[in-house]
Amino acid sequence: MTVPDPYPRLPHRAPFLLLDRVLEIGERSGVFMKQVAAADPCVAADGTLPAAFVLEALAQGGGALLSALTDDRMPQPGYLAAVDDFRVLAPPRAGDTVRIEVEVLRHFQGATQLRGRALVDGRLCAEGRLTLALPR
Amino acid sequence: MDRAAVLAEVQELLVTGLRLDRAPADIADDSPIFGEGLGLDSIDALELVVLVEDRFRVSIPDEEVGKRAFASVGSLVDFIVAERAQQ
Repeated sequence: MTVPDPYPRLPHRAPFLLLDRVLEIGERSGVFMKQVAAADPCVAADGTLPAAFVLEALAQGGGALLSALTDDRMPQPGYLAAVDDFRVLAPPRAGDTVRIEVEVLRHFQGATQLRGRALVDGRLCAEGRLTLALPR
Repeated sequence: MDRAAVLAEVQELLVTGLRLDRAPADIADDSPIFGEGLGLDSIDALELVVLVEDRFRVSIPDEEVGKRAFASVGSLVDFIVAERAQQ
């Protein structure tokens, strides 16, 4: 499945749209890219991307994936309902290209559990399990 | 597994897996799992599906099966016992 970018799949807009490109959409997984720019308003004074924004990027990846899998024509609002076992091993820094990988683990009654990973240069910098709730 | 053992394990799973603030033995067999009983919601339902499938090696393939299995603690226990008996 080819999706040119996450822009039409999510209701978010700059500066809070944290995904720059869609790299892959599979049957149950997706890969996205975020370039961390020094001028990005989400970047902290020390040049790192705070954990909350790393988590948000994973969640947006999950939302974009679910939207692509359901072929929604319009971006649908979703809610980050739960986060489990989330950890940041090394926060991404200005200049990094972050690879966001998300995978659907389970879906039930309008809620979807996903595994999300963020990598820089092939090194894992954050991971966790997220539950997204989609209003009916 | 006999029913009493499954009940004890389900009670423990509910408390530890869903972080309920009560002792496992305080969860009655006839407690509704959602709403008035244990007060769980749809987000907890997904987590419970994952926990039950992983712990008891059973499958809850869709919402219809889930609705019947999750009607109460007792119905969940009966579902697990029946599924395990077929394996």
